[in-house]
Amino acid sequence: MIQDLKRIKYYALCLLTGVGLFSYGSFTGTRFLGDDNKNKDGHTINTSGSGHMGGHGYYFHK
Amino acid sequence: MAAPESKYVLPSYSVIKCPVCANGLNVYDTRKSAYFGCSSCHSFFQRSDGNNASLRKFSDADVQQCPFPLGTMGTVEGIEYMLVGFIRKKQKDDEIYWNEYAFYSPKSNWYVILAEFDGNWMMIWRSNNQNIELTKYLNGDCFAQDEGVNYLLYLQYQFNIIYAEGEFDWNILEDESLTTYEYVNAPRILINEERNYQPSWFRASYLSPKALLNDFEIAPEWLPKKNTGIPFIPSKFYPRWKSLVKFTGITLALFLLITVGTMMFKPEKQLYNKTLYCVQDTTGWGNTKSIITEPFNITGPAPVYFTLSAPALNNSWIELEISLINDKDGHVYELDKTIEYYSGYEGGESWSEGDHNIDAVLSGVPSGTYHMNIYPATEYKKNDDGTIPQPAFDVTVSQNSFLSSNFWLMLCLILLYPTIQFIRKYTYENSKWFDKEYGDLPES
Repeated sequence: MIQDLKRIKYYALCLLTGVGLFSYGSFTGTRFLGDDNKNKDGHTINTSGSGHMGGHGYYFHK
Repeated sequence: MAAPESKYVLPSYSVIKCPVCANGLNVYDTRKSAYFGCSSCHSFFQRSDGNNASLRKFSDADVQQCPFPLGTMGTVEGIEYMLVGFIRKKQKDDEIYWNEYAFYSPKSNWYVILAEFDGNWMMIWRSNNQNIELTKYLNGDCFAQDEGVNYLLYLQYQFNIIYAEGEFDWNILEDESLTTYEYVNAPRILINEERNYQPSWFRASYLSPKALLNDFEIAPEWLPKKNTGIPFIPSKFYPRWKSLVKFTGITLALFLLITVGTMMFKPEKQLYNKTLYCVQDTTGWGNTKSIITEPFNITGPAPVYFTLSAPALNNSWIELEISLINDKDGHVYELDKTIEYYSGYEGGESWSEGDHNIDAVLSGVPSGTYHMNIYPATEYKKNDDGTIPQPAFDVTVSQNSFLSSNFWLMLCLILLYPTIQFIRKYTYENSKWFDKEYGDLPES
């Protein structure tokens, strides 16, 4: 098996990295392509200015 | 064996009796032939003084009679050869079968072998150069160099002899201990038959049926049907292929296990589902009143999937800017989607554009209580009775939805390299076996 892996070590490394990332994505619910979140900077309602958020003043529910 | 009467076949010089069934076998090389395959009882025996000894009885299930009569003649580089032996071989670790025809020249005491696999032909002869250099590169590729030409190692295998008929001047059964390496520089091949680490080099060239019929006195109707499919089982082609298939299989299994495990332990759950309405706001700065939803809990970290639909929408649009807000820390996730649908009837044909449904995903949303602030915008057109409509739209929110893009991305990553390798193998094998002109002639 080790001998087999030596022949395809780069492919194996690439694939193991991919499987690792896929596992991370599955368990954290991370979508690698096409996340629709527009608030990439992670601003919160308390710190964001209305200008930055496209003109809307956020209403905090509580 | 009584050879079929044919204008192509040379008469034999002698006859030897099979020790098992007493069938008479034609002998063409009376001086050197010492091993014989009987086509009647399928025994393989050795000639010895006064007592011919049977060495093996081939299984009846493996018997495939030689399609050409022994004694069939051929001419290569002006030297006449005659067919003296037929061998059927099977790759040891796989269901791959091929036939070999041993042609012998009494004048030059020289053999050429015709190998046939699924109707594709190759001529093989012993190389004059037995000191061929091998070079192995760091990436695992191994080359044999002969007369300044590099041949890449493509195939390594061992074989069993499952049937033989005719005569041989060596014990062909001992060849089962050989390990064969094929080095390719299409359309030429170098073959190393290695026994106890001692190499024995042969050269080979592809042979078209036209060249075969031209150089060997073979009747066209004797030729086996050419298979137009993949000539070799791909997994046997490249040295790396077997490892590749094995590792890809294990990774695929692991990948599917993770996918199924995730779906089982983090099942999809609907969090919110409601029909909402766009209500014109004539007092504020926006054209539509904003909507604040009731709170719902998300068990994260999880992908949150939004389905937005407006089934009654026609020739209009609704823009929905949605903020998903964590009630505890105020963290905001924001998305902006527009549902638009237009339809009509023009030039005798109906047309439509857009969609009543649209999806969105927020990934990696942590646990907590959330609510949504929805800021709709639309175009208000007065009805015929003067009232202003309130376009409806449905919002469905669920967590732990299947992330299909991750799934396909990973599947592509796993299958990309094996697919490329498979295409290379397929292309190579086709170029190897099909539509090749007659290559090198044997060295004299």
